[in-house]
Amino acid sequence: METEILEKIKVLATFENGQLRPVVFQWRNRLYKILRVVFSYSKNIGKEKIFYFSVGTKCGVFELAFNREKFSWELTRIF
Amino acid sequence: MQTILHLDLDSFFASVEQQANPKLVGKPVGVIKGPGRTCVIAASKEAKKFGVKTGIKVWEAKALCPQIIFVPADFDKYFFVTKKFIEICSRYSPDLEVFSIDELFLDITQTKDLFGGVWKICQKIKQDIRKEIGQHITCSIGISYNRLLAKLASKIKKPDGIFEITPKNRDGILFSSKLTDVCGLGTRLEKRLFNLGITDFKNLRKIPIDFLEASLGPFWPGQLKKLSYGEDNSVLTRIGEIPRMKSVSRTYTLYEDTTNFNLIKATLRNLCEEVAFKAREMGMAGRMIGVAVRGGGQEDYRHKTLKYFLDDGEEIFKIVWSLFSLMKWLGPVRFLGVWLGDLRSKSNLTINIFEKERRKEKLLMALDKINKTFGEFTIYPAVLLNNKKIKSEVNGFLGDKNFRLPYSIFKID
Repeated sequence: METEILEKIKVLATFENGQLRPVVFQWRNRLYKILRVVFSYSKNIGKEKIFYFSVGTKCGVFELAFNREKFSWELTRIF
Repeated sequence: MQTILHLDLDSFFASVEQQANPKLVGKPVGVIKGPGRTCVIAASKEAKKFGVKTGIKVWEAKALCPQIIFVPADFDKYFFVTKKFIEICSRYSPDLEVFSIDELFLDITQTKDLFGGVWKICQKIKQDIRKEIGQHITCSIGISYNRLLAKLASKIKKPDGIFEITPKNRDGILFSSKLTDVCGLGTRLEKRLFNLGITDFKNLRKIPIDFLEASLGPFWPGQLKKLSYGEDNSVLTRIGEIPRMKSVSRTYTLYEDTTNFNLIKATLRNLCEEVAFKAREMGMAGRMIGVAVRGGGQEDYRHKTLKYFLDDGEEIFKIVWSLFSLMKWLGPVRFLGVWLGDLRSKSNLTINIFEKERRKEKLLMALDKINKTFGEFTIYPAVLLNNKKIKSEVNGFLGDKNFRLPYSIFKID
């Protein structure tokens, strides 16, 4: 049902009220506008903190991950 | 009179998975430990309608509900939600007890009037959960004047319900409840009571206490009588007041029965590492070491109490391995467990004055620092090479609250 991707992506995000929210992401030269963030959580891998976002777009639901230490975004999976 | 809330997140693991993946919403979902695991550890409300329950085998769940979707558990995700849940509830009272990964008690006796009353608080908490965690995460709330009845009340209207047990409706609720609905009365005691012809609280009240004592001994009859009246004087154990842990343990069920000596050794070594790490993180060491093994229809358990205290995984493993060897285990192994007991604070123990031991302590500190910086098992014992590393995980009962809560609570980014 879900497909693991683990590819780096470009993301436009807002920082508001102490929260990080992705707004648009680009994957394989295609832009995806995020209609809503359905869930978010974070976990630590050692000192690295990763923030996960389940996001809804017109094309489906994706999970994005932001690595706070590496300052990079990744598309982890497609639901 | 006190006002205690018991808050219970509904179908917790499955609800979190449905929240994270909207395609699962409205569908029967069973959460399993991991791919290849054979036991359902949580079921969504849709799956529960088909009779799928926690603990059921995967094949049984499929037979009951062929369209069930199995999802591997992600305990880091669930614990994140737990911390958020705790933070939300703590806004309404500082008197909060974390009972398990998805249950809290909240004493709002002193604070309810600040927030417009009991029902207002309940509604507000539900709203906050929906808004800040997710619309598919719901909780059922029980209200009463003690912990026991509040916990019973939260079961009455599920999911996403609120129910109050008052002195007026208490007996009606107790008499219509099963004995095991009440926290503290398990299936073993239920069976013993059944053998005495006692199947409900109404009967239990009528039976003379000396009759119960003749069958159950001196302790239980008094407790049972109190339970039959819904009496409970226990107080909430706040996060900062959790009693120090007396032991740390880790168990693991292998994917299949094994007679592979190296795998058994590596697994035990792995479990010893986790147990030792937890003890060190809490600044403690223990001197009672135990090992439990199950498989092929047999089980065995050994323990040893030392005259000195340990917090080193390698040293703990030496004892564990000698205990395992004493079992002279023949046949397959499916389940292994290690624990370190009689934990004491290292600040109360004699300092090591020998150079060799002090170097070992420094080495362990360095190893812990590396693993905490770069991730669990960045450095690990050589015996674990080429084996899957069993990483630490939160369990449903939050049995290691003392380890998990003080270090991570309220640290929500």
